[in-house]
Amino acid sequence: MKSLYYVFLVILFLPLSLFSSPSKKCVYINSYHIGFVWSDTISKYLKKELKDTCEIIQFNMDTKRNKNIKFIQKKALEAKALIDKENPDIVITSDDNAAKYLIKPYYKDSKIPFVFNGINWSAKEYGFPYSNVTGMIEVTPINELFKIAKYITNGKKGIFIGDDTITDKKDLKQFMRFAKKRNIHLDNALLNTLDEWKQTYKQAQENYDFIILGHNSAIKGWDDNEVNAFLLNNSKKLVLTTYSWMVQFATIGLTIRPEEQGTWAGNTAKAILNGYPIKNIAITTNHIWNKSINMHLVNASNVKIPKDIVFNYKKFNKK
Amino acid sequence: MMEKNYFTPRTKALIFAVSFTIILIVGFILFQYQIKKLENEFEFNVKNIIKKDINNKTINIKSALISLSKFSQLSQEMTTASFSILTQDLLKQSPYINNIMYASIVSKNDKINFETYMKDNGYYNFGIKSYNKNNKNFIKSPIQDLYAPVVLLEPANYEFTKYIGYDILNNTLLHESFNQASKTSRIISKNAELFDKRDTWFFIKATYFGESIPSLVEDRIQNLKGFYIINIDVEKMLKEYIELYHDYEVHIISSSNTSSYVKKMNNNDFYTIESLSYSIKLDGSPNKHLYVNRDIHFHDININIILFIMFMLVVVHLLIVFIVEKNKYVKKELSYKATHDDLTGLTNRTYFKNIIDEIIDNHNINSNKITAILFIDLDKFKDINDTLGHKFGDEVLIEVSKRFKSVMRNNDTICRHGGDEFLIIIEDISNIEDVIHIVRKIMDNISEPIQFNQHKINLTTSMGISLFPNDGNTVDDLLKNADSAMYKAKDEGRNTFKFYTEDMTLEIMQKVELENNLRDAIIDDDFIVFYQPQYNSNTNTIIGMEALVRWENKDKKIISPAKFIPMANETGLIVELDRLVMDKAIKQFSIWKNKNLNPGVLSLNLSMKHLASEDFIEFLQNTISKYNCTYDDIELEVIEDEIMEDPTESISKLNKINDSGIKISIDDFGTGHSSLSYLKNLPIHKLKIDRAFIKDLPEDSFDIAISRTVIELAKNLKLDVIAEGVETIEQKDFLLKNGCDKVQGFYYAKPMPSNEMEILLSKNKKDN
Repeated sequence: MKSLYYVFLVILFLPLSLFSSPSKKCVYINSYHIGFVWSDTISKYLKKELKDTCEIIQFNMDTKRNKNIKFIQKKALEAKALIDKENPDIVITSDDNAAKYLIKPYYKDSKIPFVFNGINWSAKEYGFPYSNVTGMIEVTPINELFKIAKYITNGKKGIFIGDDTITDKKDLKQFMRFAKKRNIHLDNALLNTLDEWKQTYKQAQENYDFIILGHNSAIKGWDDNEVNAFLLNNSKKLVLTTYSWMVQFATIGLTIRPEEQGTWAGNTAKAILNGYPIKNIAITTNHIWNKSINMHLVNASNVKIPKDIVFNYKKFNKK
Repeated sequence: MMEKNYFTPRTKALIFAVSFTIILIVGFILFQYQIKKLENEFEFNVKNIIKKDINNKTINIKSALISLSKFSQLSQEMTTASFSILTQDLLKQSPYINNIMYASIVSKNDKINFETYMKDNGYYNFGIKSYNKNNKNFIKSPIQDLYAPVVLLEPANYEFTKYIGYDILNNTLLHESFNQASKTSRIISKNAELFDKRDTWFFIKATYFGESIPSLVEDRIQNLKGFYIINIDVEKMLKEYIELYHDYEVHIISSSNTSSYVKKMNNNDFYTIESLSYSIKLDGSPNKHLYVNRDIHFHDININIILFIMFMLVVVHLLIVFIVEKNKYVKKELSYKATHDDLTGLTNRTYFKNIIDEIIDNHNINSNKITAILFIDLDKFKDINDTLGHKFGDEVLIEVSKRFKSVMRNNDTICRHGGDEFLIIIEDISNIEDVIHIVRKIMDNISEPIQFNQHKINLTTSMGISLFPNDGNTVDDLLKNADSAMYKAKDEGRNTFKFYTEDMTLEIMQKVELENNLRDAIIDDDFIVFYQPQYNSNTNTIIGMEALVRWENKDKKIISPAKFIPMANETGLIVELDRLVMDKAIKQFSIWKNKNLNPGVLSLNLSMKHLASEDFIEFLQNTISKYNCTYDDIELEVIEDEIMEDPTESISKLNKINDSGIKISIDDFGTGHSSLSYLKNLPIHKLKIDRAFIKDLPEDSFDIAISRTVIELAKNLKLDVIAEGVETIEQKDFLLKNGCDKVQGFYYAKPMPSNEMEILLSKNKKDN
């Protein structure tokens, strides 16, 4: 009688267990760590798109904070071990290290489809596309940025201040390329500490027409409040950035949106899981960005901003 | 009591027929109405909703293209971000738009630079490409003078990323449209399949360098910057109408015809009533037609509404019929109650008065018909009530009513006057004896014992009769007189009836008594035959005799034929009586003949009623043979009046007797209305002059003239003639002198019994 009761319960709950969670499995490999706003936002929108489609297992390589090649390779192997263990229906990766250290060496033309995002400017060096790989290249509106810099300052000398990471190095390369095309003299400073950063920023006020801010995530001792206070007292020149989290430290921001990449990667993964052939999905680029203006810095720096920009750009409000 | 049934079978059949007709008519009208409604609905939906909506959509698409083109020309800059912002609202609001694209014009010389530029902007593997239909893949574009690769595209999702770099200008299906768009600067629309996409509709708008559109075609070609393209999924666009009107078939077709609307009865499919199809030219889209088809099936007709309305109509119809019929019934019932007695169901005094009034009003003064009003009272009914109770009394009254009904004809009126008094109207009576007959039947019927609950009673009635118009000309008079006659009947000891007029009562009673006695006398053979001799006045010898019937009653008193012969005639007893007399007379005559007493010829009176019976001649012949007489011995006397009642019929019947050899004479000649023409044709051999013309001879000149004329007439017609009622010698002499030597009457002898007649015959024989 008791056994009959259990059979009844199994029959009763079997359908629930079948339909209570998605039967497909997705592995998301994040090149960076939890707490990094950029990749966290990508992750958030990716999961939002896939929540009813597959079970998502996330692996964080933490290569923003640990740049040692061996560490990165070790993390890549861990990620591979996870993938081999879980045998997912699809793998989604974000940013370059996952592409470079995981997809390229281990999963070229494998049966598991891969959707990447956040690879800066080009995936040529990884040999993409593979038959099992598609994704969204991350481009920043550098061309637009130079146009605005010239429009506001009419100057031709600028400096790129970033951290000493592979991402910023790649970004810098692009900035240099576009600067060259526009006949702009662009210097650079890829730094490791906040003091170095402050010092470089201060010197730039005297020597350049505009400043371009790169990443800050690898700058040791970075404190937002401290930097904000510093900027209010030490800013005379136009400061521009293409990163959303750096807008609070810049006068003008032309920022790409991590949600665009997260949403795109999620939608594409969903289509592939639903049977859409990956070979028909061409590698694309992100194509939208926000234009914002930080009036606190505008007022502190006395930079004259044309009215059309003041009126049309979104005002940055520090939360 | 009146039966509670509102509807007669005829009414029911009528209601059914009307209801059925209503159902058919209303059903047909509603059916047609619904079809018309569906047609109107279809026409309205196509013209005012679908077509307008599609036109609005195309207008929106065109407006968007114009805006994009203008923005591009004015700003000379269209980034991916601004393109995304500009198009995102349109895409959100228009789910049928597959995508919005911008294809930039690239010349053969600029191709490499352009590809490099695109690679620098993130499309690191960008190349201008074309589509290989066979392999269904993109290949490097062959060399062309001009390319228009897609560089901006929204929504930029996984489905469309592959379009980036596609040289849409050189798509064979769209090439001409791009040429037109660039040359005319107008928006060109074109249906084409792109890659694996289904039915798609392209709207193409060219954009140029400079802020305005060049006015010359050459300038337009030279300054062509690119194309904005909106690609819509036709099926998706029409899907919302198909979902909204799931019975509609909606297409956009290419056609150069004018708009048309076709209604077609469908004969192929039983379930399809008709097909409606619209082909409407879409505004601003040359050769594009909206084609909508809708088949109206039987299941589209809302049968429930039809049935409901039909049902309601039938219910209303039945309700009206019911109310009307109920009113009629109530009126009828009230009228019935007002004119009928509750206990017996007979009509009441009011009804009675109405009927009598009607009879009086409709009375024809020339009519011989009379109406009798019978006022009937049950004798000693009070005693029944007092001894056996009112309930029993009521049962008696009901039983009596039933008995009245069983006796009376259906059209006779029977009323309960009140208490134990009843009234009966008997209409269209020709003679009073009929009333007596009915009255007797009623009395006999009521006198049958009545039994209820082990009580057996014998009832009698007293009845008063008044006659209309004899006894009054108003209802009250007739009723009052019948009532008073009834009291007279009570006074005479009950169980009898009285006419209001005493003489009539007496006369009737006598007649009735006579009739009864006559019947009894025939049965008891109380009749004897007297013989009156007929003489030849020349020789004073007997030449024959007339047999005359006499009735000897129980008191041995002889009753005159004048008293009972008319009654015998009226009742038809005359036939039986005549046969009785004939048998006796012929028998006696044969005795005398056998005794050689020379009785001459025996004259027998014959009523014409005899001739109605088929066997009369046979009876007479048999009787004559039975007593060994011959036909020459017998002569039948028929009264002139009876012959003249229907001369033609009489001639025919008398001919049959004459043919048998028996002679016929006309009795009482001169009193009737003989026509000479009929007389000529009658098979007679003798005329008997009526005693009325003999009586005052030879003094009365009129009688002289008549008797002479009859004698002369007989001679001329070669007929014998005899006179009856000859009582004096003067009469005998006058007749003899005028040629009538055959006489009969008291002068010679009165009618006498057979024994006396035999003596006379013997004497006559001895004398001669």
